[in-house]
Amino acid sequence: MTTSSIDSAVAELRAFLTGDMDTWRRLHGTQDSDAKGAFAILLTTACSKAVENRFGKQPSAEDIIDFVSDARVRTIGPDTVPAEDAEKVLRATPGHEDLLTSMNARDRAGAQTAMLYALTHETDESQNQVDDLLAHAVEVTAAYLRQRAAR
Amino acid sequence: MGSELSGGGADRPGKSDRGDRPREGDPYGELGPDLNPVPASADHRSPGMTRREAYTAVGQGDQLLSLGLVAGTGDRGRGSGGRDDGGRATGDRDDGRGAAGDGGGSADRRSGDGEGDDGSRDDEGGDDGGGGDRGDRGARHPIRRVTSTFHDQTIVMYTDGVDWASREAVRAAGVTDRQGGQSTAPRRLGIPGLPHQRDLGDNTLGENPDVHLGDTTDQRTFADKVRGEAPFSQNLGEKDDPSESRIGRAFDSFLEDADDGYDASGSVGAAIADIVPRGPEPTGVHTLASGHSTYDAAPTLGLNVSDVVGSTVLMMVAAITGLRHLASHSRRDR
Repeated sequence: MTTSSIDSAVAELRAFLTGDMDTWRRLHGTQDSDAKGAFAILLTTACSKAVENRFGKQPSAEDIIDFVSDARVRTIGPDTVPAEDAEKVLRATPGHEDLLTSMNARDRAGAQTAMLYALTHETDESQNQVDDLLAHAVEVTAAYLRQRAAR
Repeated sequence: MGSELSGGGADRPGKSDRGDRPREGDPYGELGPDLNPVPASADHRSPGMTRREAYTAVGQGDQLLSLGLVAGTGDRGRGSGGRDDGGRATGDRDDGRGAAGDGGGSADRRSGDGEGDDGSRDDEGGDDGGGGDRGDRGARHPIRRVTSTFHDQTIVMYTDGVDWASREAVRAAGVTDRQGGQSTAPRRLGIPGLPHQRDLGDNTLGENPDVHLGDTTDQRTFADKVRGEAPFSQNLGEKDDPSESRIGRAFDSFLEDADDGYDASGSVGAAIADIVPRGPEPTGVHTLASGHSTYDAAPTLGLNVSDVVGSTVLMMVAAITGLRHLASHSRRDR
């Protein structure tokens, strides 16, 4: 997996999170398998960091339930993802990765996508953190891929 | 953490006197005041047990743990009979600072009836010049990796200053973890070719007869802790498999189903993209908004085309009206 894979995955994710849907639609269908892999790691790390920024390291169940219900009303739509999946990916803080691995790929990635969008569109301030989130996600993803390549 | 776990310097005679107390002229005498028996209340040692004996007992218990020979003592290092093993130990800190101790010659280790418990465990190697600090004895510290050599085999252990786990136990915990919590640690290994080690194991396991040599199940708690606190290979050492870390394993699985996940992400993204441009619903169920407050655009300072045309037309109409008014007045005056 190369740096360009990460770059193209970041470009797609950034377009989506910043609401540049035309660019997102254009990029979404063009990723190769490496970029798709990088996208999965980026999405997970960005979502995890956004959860930490929003809820702290130990989010309470009450806060998560409130956030998900509010997001389904205001941001992502009521039928985009099941509330249970959305709550599960928000609870998957470091040390609880088993919550993510217990989900199938489609449910996990769909819920992460929706929740990351909701977290970055909750307020105008949260929209400003997109670049910081992506910078963090790129750093973690690159470190993981380096270690994986060294095995 | 200190450097030497197994005590014994090269100048110490190698002899196995299981259960004996230190002899006259024993090299342990160089420890001076430490040879004085101490009461049970001090440092949790057994009555009449010298500091050296306590350290020796602890060292042996730890080595047995690291070999996977001790079962049921994951949280306890038990002293056992003496042995002639010529062990060598080095301690490595996570931060890369390594201290080495060498007991290259065989050590006359005897713990007799000595027993090291949690409180008395001191792996700082202070008596052997390892620069240990007795002040934090029994205190937990970040998990450190310790390597030692035993019968020419490298042994890797992890400790937080109180609990110990071997690398094998940590890996076994990983396998157990991956297989849904079902322990895969062997209940019995049976090592008929190593009778002296079996003896040591018998002695060590004296208080836990239901557990057998090679059973690492009781070490799972601390081994799991080691695994849980090790992001990637930070605490597991460079030679360990990075996939040992939970997040690393999770990422590995995400890569395997990256295509499915990517498709699902696209579907959800498309659903959200369809919602974003849409304004608030006039009535009905839920109001969908992008999260940004909607507002009317502020008037621009410059003139645009429509403004110029409109103003010109108005001025012309006003001018024509004025001219007609003037003309009608002048006619009346005549």
